[in-house]
Amino acid sequence: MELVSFEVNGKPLEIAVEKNWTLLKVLREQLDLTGAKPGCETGDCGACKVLLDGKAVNSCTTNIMKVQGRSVITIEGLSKGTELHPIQSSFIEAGAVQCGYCTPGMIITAKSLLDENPHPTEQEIRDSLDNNLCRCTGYVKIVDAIQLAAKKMEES
Amino acid sequence: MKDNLNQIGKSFPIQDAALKVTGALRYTADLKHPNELQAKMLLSPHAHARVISLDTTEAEALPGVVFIAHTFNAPERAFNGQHKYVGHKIIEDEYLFPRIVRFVGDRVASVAAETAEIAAKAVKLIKVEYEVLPAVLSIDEAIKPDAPDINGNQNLQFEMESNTGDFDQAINKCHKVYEATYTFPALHHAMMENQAVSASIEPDGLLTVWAPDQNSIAHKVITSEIFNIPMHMIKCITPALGGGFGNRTDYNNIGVPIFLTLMTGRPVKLRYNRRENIIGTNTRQGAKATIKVGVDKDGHIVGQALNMITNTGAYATCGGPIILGAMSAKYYKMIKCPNMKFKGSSIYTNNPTGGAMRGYGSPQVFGTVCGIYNEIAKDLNMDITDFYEKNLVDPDGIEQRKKTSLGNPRPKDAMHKGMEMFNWDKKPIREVREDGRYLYGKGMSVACHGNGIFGVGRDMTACTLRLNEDGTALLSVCTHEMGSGCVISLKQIVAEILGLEVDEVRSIHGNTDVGGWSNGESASRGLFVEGGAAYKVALQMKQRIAKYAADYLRVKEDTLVFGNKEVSTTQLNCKPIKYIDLVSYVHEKYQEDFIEACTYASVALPGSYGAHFADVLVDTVTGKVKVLDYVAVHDVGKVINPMILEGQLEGGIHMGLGYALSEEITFDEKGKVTSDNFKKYHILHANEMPNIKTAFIEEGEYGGPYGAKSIGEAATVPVASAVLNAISNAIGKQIHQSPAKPERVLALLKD
Repeated sequence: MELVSFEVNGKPLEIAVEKNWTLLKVLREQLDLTGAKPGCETGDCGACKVLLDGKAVNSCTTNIMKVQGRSVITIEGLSKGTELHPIQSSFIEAGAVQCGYCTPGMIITAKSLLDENPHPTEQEIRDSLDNNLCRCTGYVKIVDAIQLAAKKMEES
Repeated sequence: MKDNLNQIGKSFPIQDAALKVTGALRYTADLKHPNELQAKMLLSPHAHARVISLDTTEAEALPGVVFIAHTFNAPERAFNGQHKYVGHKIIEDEYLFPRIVRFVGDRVASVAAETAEIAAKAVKLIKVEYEVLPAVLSIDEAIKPDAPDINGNQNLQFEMESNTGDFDQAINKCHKVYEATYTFPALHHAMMENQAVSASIEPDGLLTVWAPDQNSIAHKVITSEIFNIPMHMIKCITPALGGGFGNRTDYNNIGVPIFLTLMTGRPVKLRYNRRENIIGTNTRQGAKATIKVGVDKDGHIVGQALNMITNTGAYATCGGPIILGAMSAKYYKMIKCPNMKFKGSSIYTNNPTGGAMRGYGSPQVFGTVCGIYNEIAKDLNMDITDFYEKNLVDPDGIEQRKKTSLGNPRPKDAMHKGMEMFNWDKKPIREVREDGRYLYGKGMSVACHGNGIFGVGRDMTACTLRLNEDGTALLSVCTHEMGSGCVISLKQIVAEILGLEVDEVRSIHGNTDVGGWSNGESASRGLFVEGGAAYKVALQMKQRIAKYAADYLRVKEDTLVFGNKEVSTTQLNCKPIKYIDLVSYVHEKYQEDFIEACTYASVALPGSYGAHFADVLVDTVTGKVKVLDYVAVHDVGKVINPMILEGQLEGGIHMGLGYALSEEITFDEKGKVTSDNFKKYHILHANEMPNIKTAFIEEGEYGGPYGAKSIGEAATVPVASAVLNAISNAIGKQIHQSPAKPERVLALLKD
């Protein structure tokens, strides 16, 4: 086992890990943060996305040793208490949530996009979702939700 | 006309949406049970082989391994994963661990260990001696007279014929006859959540099973029969469903962790990865269909015959029911033709097992029918919409074979509206663009699916409804929320009838201990039948409230008005009574509670029709197809929740676009799945989707709550045909094999 220290949702921590573990495994099994979902475990579906130093990454293909000294934000870290992040509330209002399994990853990707590009075009939104799969929605209302979130975040 | 509805026809987000956007909802794999073991499976590397012996010595010696289950120590009770109820007559040919494995991915053994890593290591240490048997890997191989017999009856698992009128006579007298053969690959459901099951004997002594499950009640029955455990000692919980699409109607591998927990006395979790999910759980049946259609000079269909052969793979599952209950029924619901024949056969092969999947046979039936209609219209030099206009059923139409009412079918209304939205008449059927590199084409299709299984099987749902002391309500029904919005729709219905707000109704569901018997989340019965149950039980409650409110207010029941959690009366000088006060009054005076139970049995099986329109651009250099605009209009009877309805349709379009363009389970020459991840099994990404527009026809349907009928499966059925017809029109050749992958399109262009 090796010791790794990093920050999760603003909280610093140090834990013992096996070198070959993924960030997803550590989040789900060591830290009980199960919002990031395993959907493919090959980096194709994006259900496991988290923000690593602010950028959306697939935690299923991120080796835990690479996380040393860095900051991780998971879906659990987006809302403040019971107050939802505007992206989260937009997903609800726009009807972008169906089975919900891809939702955390979609929201993380949207956060990463909107932090970098607060006024994305529809095409930019669609391109940003290229590594996030959804089987329920046809992405229509997910794109709507991200547009709505951009508007809300601009207004606030 | 104003309908005076407060909750029906309004958008509400799906049940548990807030839990889903915060990551707080725990799906099966997210749950942790104390002292839980983790299981891994050994899946067959052979398409067909006898398990001669298993040596688990080395595997068992690995520290942390607790138990290894396999064909020589597991129950030998045969089952069918689509068995629905006690006494259900269905071929039982599956085993937890079969002595003869029948496809690459069949269950050979399972290890329960302290960690998933140890279990995975141990799986590799199991030594299996196989006697490899000859395999058949396609329908064509399986129906040869000298083909190896996979599972009895010379690979013919099920066969039926039906007809109406006199096809043979009609076809001899008609103006022109067309014939074509269409093939469809096996498909993966691609629900984002992989299969996961936990089982435990809880401290209360109940065998408790957690799984993403579309029919936990049926799976309780199968569990009871395999393990000989009485049903009152089994509880199946569906914590959440990360997608269903029919895959989770099947028992699948649920019995494996149950067996492991019974043997170890500890909770056991089994979680499949994507590869295991693709190769080891049910698929949509591949199929080969030959169709013959005769028309008169004006384009009326005078005779139609369909010979549908489906590939059920290794086991029977619902191979028979799909043909008998679904394909052969939907076939007769769309056109007015008086002379029709249907033949359906389900064939065993050594491919992964076929099962239920969104549309349940309809994509194959209408993929064939709508394909040949495109060929016919083109040959007759007729616009395809004119051809449909002459042949589609009308709102007063009858089912030709049974001479029964079709309900209120509105395919023509859907088509008319769709043509307008798509600007159909203004677009060319095909066009050469950009110096000939790109070919443009437009195409459309009209198809249908059902609403439950009335007349085919037990189509009922039982539920209970309580009025709480403060007048809010609690609905208990064993429905399973898989993302289709069923639960919120039931809550809207109860709220509407009782004069409550939707958030004043809570639902308990996804647990075999609550509500009563129900036939699961299949056959698009969620709203039509379970919604009917919610409607019925809420009306009963309203009557109970009315009785006591009239008593309290000393007025006649027919003067009562319900709303805002109170009952008022049209009579003057009489104050309303709030539900909270009424419940207290009745508790005190009569010592009666407000609780109702009902069983609702469906009374009809109408079709849900959709008309879909697409235009495409085919790149003649790469063979790639880009879908440009997409319009879908559906006959839904009545819109209960517009946002949910649109979402269902948009998702159905996504799935169908995959069938048209990219989705296909592929195999190597030994029957091993080669498309075993999302790189190779390509579902469309956000930037590959067309511009989608949807609309709905609301003309009411007999038997549905508020006149509503289904969308879930119907949404997917017409899609692939609309797109494939557009591509066919663009390239000038009909595509008979889906999906239209670039290499297939190029081959057709070169041909």
